[in-house]
Amino acid sequence: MPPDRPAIRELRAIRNNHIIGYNMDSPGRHNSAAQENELISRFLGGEHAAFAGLVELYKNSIHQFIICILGPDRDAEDIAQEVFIQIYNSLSSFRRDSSFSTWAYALARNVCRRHLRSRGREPILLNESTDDKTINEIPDGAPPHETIIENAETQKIVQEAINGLSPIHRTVLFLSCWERLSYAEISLALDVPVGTVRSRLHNAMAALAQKLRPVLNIPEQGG
Amino acid sequence: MQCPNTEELMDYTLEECSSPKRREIEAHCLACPECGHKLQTLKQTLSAAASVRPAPVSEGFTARLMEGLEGQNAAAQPSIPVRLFFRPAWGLALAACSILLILSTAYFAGHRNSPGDPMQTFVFSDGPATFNNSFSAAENPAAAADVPVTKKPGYIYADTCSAVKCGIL
Repeated sequence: MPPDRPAIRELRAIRNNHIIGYNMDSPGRHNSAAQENELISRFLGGEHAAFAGLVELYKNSIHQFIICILGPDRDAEDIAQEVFIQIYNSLSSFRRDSSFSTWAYALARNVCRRHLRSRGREPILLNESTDDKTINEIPDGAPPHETIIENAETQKIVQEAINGLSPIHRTVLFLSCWERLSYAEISLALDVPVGTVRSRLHNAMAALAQKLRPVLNIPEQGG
Repeated sequence: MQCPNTEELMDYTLEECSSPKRREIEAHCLACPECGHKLQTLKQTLSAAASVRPAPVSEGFTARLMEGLEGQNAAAQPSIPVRLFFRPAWGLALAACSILLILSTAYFAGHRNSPGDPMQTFVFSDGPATFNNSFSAAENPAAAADVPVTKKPGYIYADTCSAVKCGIL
């Protein structure tokens, strides 16, 4: 079925209609840019309490980003607190040549890497140049999108499918699909070239589509 | 147009391609059912990925954080009078004054003049400050005549360099 308008707008419309259970308390970067700029200005002007507004805007997203990198982790919330403390201490050095979210995610990435090192685990090199090898074509098949996420059980399956992806895939999917960052912004946040972002996202989509084949009613590839 | 590959379709879906490319892909997908299906699958997968809400933090997250930050601020930035008081320069000056006070007290306590001795005579030497190699301050010729051959209470010996450094000369 050919698209009758940009698909991304369709996705937003779907979300706004709560067809797929979109949580409107996410940062919604397109709506919150002005708000976050104002909060940053107020904070830099000496209004300590304005920082709480920024935390409210980003607390769940930063928390999820940490979970994407570390996997389900009981310390994720403590690490999120650490990330916000770092943001607080270095916000005066934020030059606004990138979006706040990009800058904050880059900080969060560094904190996560430090934690992985301190635990003696090999840090997930989100910025390593080599990518995973499994590049599968996204299987085709096209039931209407309204049938995708029809109930909580299906959502749980989707969540589990995403949890089953590699940290690199989870992270790039989260930043692109949830946070709606552009390739260039993801590239800045993860410190990788734009081309790497694109190929990772493609691989992540292929891997997710593979896992969701039964839910999405996608026929076997080539079928 | 040839069939776009999935990366191009993804670029299209995420609005990462140019307008002419968008129009090309749209036109192609209208005409090519296979690519139309691919695009639809891609959109479904994106919708699914976008449907998973971020794991929420526990209640009171922001309050705890702000409390911690206030504690951090209180520890890092003492109130202004305290900060002024504990400036390094003040500390050094205070230490210097204390040392001077202790030394002068000790000195004068141990060098009390006997009734016949002069109150104080400063004697400066050109070399090491000994009472055999000393002369009095030029502005006090009377004292020069009074330089003792043995150490006597009431006479303060110093070499000229130290005296200059101390600001006595």
